[in-house]
Amino acid sequence: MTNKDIKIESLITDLKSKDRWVYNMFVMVFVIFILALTATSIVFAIEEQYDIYNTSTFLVYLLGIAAMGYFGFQIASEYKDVDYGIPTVLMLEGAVRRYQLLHPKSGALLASILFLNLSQVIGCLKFRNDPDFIQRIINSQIPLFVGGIIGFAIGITIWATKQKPLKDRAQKLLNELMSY
Amino acid sequence: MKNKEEQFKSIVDQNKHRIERICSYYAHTTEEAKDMHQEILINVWKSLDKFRGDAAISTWIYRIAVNTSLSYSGKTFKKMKLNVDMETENLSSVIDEEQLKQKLQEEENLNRLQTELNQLSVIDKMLISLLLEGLSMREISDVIGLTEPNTRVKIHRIKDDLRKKLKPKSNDK
Repeated sequence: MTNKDIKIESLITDLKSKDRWVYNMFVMVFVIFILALTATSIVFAIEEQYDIYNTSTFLVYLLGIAAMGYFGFQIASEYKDVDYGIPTVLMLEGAVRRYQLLHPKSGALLASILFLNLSQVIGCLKFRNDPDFIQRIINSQIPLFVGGIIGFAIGITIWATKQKPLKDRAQKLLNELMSY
Repeated sequence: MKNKEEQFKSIVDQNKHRIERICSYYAHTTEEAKDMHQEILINVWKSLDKFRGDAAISTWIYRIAVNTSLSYSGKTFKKMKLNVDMETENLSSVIDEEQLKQKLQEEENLNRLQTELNQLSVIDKMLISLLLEGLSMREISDVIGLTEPNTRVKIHRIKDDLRKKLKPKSNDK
C-alpha cells in the first residue's frame, strides 16, 4: 500500500471542501447571532415604554442570545479545534473533557434557555395585578417545561449512547498510560 | 490555502514510509492499512494549521499517527494486532539481541513473539510500535506526553513481561 493508492489530489479536494463547510458554518452562526441581536435591539428601541420591566426583559434576553451564540461557536469550533499533533496524554485528556456530560457547551445551552425563559417571566411581571397573572406565568412555562424534559431526555440518550462510550474509552486509555 | 496544500503534500511525501510502517503495525489487511493511512492524512491536514514547529516534524507525524491509531483501533478494538515480521529493523530493541538471535532462529519463536505482542494492551502496543520504529526514550516521551523516566519505566515493564513470557519453560529445555 502506498500513497499512490490514496488519491492525494482527490483527498485534498475533499478536505478543502470540508474546510469551506466549517468556515461557512462559522459565518452562518455569526450572521444568526448578529441578526438576533439586531432584531432584539430594534424591538426594544421601538418600544414606547422604557420601564424597569421592558429594560430588564431586554437585558436578560440579550444574555440569553449571547449564551446561545457562545453555544453555537462551541459547536462550530469542535471540528476546527481538533489537533492530533499534540502528545497522546493531552489528546486523551481533551477527549475526556470534551465528552463529559457537564461540558461548558451544555452549560451555555442551559444558561441560554434559562435567560430566555427568565426574560419571559420578567415580561409577565408588569401584569402582576391582573387576576390571571399566575395563569399567565404558568402558560409561559409549560412549553419550556415540556420542551425541557423532551430535550433533556434526547440529550442524555445521545450522550449515553454516543459520547459516554468515547469518554470511558479515552479515560481507560489515559488511566493505563498514567499507571506505572 | 495554496501554502497549506503545498506544505501538506511535502509533509506527506517526506513521511510516507513512516506513516505506512505505523499503519502496517496495526492493520491486518491492505484495505485496513489504506483506511488508517487515509485517516492519518486527514488528521495531518486538520492539525496542520496548529503546527508551530515546537516539535520535530517526525515527532509531530508520530503523534498524529499514534493518536489516530488509538482512535481508529476503537473501531476494531478487539481485532487490533501489532504486526511485526523478520524485516522489522528494530525488533532487537524489544528483547535482548542475544536472546533475539536464539529466538528468531526458528519461525515458531517469532510466532510466539508475535502472539505475545498481540496480547499486549493497546497502550503497550503503541509504545512497542514506537520502539520498533527506533525512537529513543526521549522521542517516545515527546510523542506520548509522559516524562522520560516514566516512559522508560513503562517500556522496561513491558519488555520484562515479554522476556518472562518468552523464556523457555523448564520442560522445554
